[in-house]
Amino acid sequence: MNEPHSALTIQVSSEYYQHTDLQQLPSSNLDDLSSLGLWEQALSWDALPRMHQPCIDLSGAVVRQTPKVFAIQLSHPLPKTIGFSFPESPHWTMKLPAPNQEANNADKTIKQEDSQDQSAPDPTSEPDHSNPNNNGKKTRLTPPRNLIRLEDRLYYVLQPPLESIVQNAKLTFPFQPFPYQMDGIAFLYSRSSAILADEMGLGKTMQAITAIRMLLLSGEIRNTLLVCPKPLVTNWMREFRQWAPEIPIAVIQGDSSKRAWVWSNPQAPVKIANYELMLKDSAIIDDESLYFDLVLLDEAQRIKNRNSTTSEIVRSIPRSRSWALTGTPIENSVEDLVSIFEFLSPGHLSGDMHLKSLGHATRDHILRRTKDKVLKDMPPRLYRNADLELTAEQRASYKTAEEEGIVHLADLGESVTVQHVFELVLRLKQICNFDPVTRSSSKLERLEADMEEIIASGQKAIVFSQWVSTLDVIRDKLARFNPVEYHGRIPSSRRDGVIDRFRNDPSCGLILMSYGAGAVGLNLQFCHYVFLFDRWWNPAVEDQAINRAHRLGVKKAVTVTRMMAVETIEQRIDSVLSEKRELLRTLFAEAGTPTNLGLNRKEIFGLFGLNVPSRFKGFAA
Amino acid sequence: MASDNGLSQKSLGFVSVRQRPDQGYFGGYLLVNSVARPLEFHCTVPVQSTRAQSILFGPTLEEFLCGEQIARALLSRAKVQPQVVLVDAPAVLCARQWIDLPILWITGESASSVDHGFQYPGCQRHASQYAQTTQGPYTFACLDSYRGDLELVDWMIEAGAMELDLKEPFERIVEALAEAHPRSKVA
Repeated sequence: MNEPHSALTIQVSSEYYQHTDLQQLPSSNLDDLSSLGLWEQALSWDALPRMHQPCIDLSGAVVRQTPKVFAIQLSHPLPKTIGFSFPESPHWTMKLPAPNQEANNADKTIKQEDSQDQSAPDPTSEPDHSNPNNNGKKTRLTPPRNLIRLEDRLYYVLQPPLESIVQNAKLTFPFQPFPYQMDGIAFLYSRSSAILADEMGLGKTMQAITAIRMLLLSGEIRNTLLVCPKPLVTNWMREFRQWAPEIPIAVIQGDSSKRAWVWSNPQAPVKIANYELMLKDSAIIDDESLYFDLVLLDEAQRIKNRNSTTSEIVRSIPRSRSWALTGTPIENSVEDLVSIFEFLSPGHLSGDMHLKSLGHATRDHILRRTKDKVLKDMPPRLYRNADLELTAEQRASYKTAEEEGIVHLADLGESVTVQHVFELVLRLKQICNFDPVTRSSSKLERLEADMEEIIASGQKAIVFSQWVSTLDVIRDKLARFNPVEYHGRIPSSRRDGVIDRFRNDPSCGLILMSYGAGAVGLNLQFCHYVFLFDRWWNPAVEDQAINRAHRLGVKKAVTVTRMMAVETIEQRIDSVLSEKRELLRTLFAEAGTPTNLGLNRKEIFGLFGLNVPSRFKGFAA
Repeated sequence: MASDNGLSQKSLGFVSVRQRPDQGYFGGYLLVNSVARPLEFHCTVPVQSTRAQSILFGPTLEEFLCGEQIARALLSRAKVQPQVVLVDAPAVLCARQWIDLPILWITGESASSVDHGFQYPGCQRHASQYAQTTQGPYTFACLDSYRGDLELVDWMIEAGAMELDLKEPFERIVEALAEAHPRSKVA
């Protein structure tokens, strides 16, 4: 304490800290300063004399020497930061118009929406031009789990909520998407491999289109290939016109030279091809110059057989993003899902994975919602099981056919095949529909009676059968209801007209559909009655058929009449189908392993009490 | 500034500094374009005050950490210069003394439920030390000694920035801070 001081003022660089001088500090704090070595730090400044034992007299009463003032510059290095820049696409920039121009544009926007309603009316949905932001929900993009780099993850975390993107880009929708649909769009947006597996009727098409629309707007994709079943091409075009009218669409069709031109046409950011074309255009697809930012497969169960040529060609399309839409990612077995993943992310799944591992591995790639979970207010499906006794004629024919068939199978002995059994099944199922001689049918009698009531109440109905020949008989018998037909014998070019007539012609109360042609992609929400005249092998296909009517926009409960001839092969198959119906639910619930993954060989032979021939033993079912 | 037409001239900055008890202060700076898309993001490592700082800065400690240290560091790192920087806590405002950029504290209702364990820093400055103006659902405030910054509110109206949800980007910052600093890693 050679040169004691009465006081010490600490000047800090901010004007706001000037009041924090040591005179205001209690002595205990000064002890703290000393103990922290602050004095040593302060006194090490070049201009200041070295003091070994600083002495501060806060009283001010006694000053033995002229006080000295030390200005202490406290050095605080700025904290470390990390930073990222994100690419900016001019598509996202909002032109800021002059006030008058803005008002004019607002008028135009409203008019455009009005005209859109007139040109593309949705008969079942109230157009709603309100902004999705109105409900206050903010749908945020979330990075996929497999995105590792912080910069990549932050790119999605830092994007505005979808509702803000819609609002800021002044995008319009024909009607307000449901919150779960916004979630689906966000799910697709941030994923390079994804399956949107919503139950049929929840709007997978709209979600995919809107996700594509937003990715195009952001500049993240520039060219997209959509592959769908051929009959659905026009449906997709209609949906694009409705949900993304500003996006030019090119349909790959016509002769080979025209198709080659469309494949390479850079002007259309979205191209639509159909599965049937894949084989024809495989040479074009192999071209090294062909590349897509996104390939979207609709009804992706079409590639469930990974060894099929179509599947192989689709998987070979060069691309950055792979999305699949399907309401039935598993139709028969988990192998279906594995095959779809071979398109999305080759090697990610294998067929021998335990169900729980499978669920874990697919969790971040699959989004599946069911109507009962997300549309609690949606009118229900009402199932009526029409368990019918065969007519006397049918029973007689059935009995004869079954006995002869079983005898025939037994005679075949070890040479019997699954095909032999199937032939008998089909024969018996056809008799369950109609007696082959008299055309007597308890199902038709019931359908006719129900149709009388439906037509009398001003409603319409859909009848599904697996045979066009069955639909022919129904058409003739129920001609007074002016039925229209939609099945494999109706050319694609006429199918839209059939749907339009069914929708708009009040005298047309019935549409006859085959499961194959009518089960996917059609919107028939105005129809509240569905008849399954005979049962399909796969419950997922039946569900798809039912969901032509029971889907978004439906105003009333949909009554589904499942016709079944009791004490016949139909009843035996029904019990197997009931088990298969549990498979999807089991997988996504990750609870237990299903005991039955499909109609296997043992079950097929078991339909007639036959044992599997010994030559099949040891083979997988 | 309002007459500038270049894209980068229509950017907005958002700075948020939040605190996690026992972990320190976390700062994030988000630059967005005219449609609220991200252009840049910067964040700090967790900052904890020293004992000496606590003693020396007393009640102004949070202003020192949030404004002079964290916000100053963030704002000086960005490549793009925004027209105005919005902050969601008054403690950050004092960064204005170090950075030649208008800085406004925006208040108003927010539907945010984003938390991730982050808390707002406190500030003991007296209300008389702020200049403020209200526009629509928002109240903008700045240090009284920089009251000219409030003129930027007019620019925001003219540029259409008021059509954006000006509180929402702070939620993104908090989400990004949580992504960059997961609790388990920081703790």
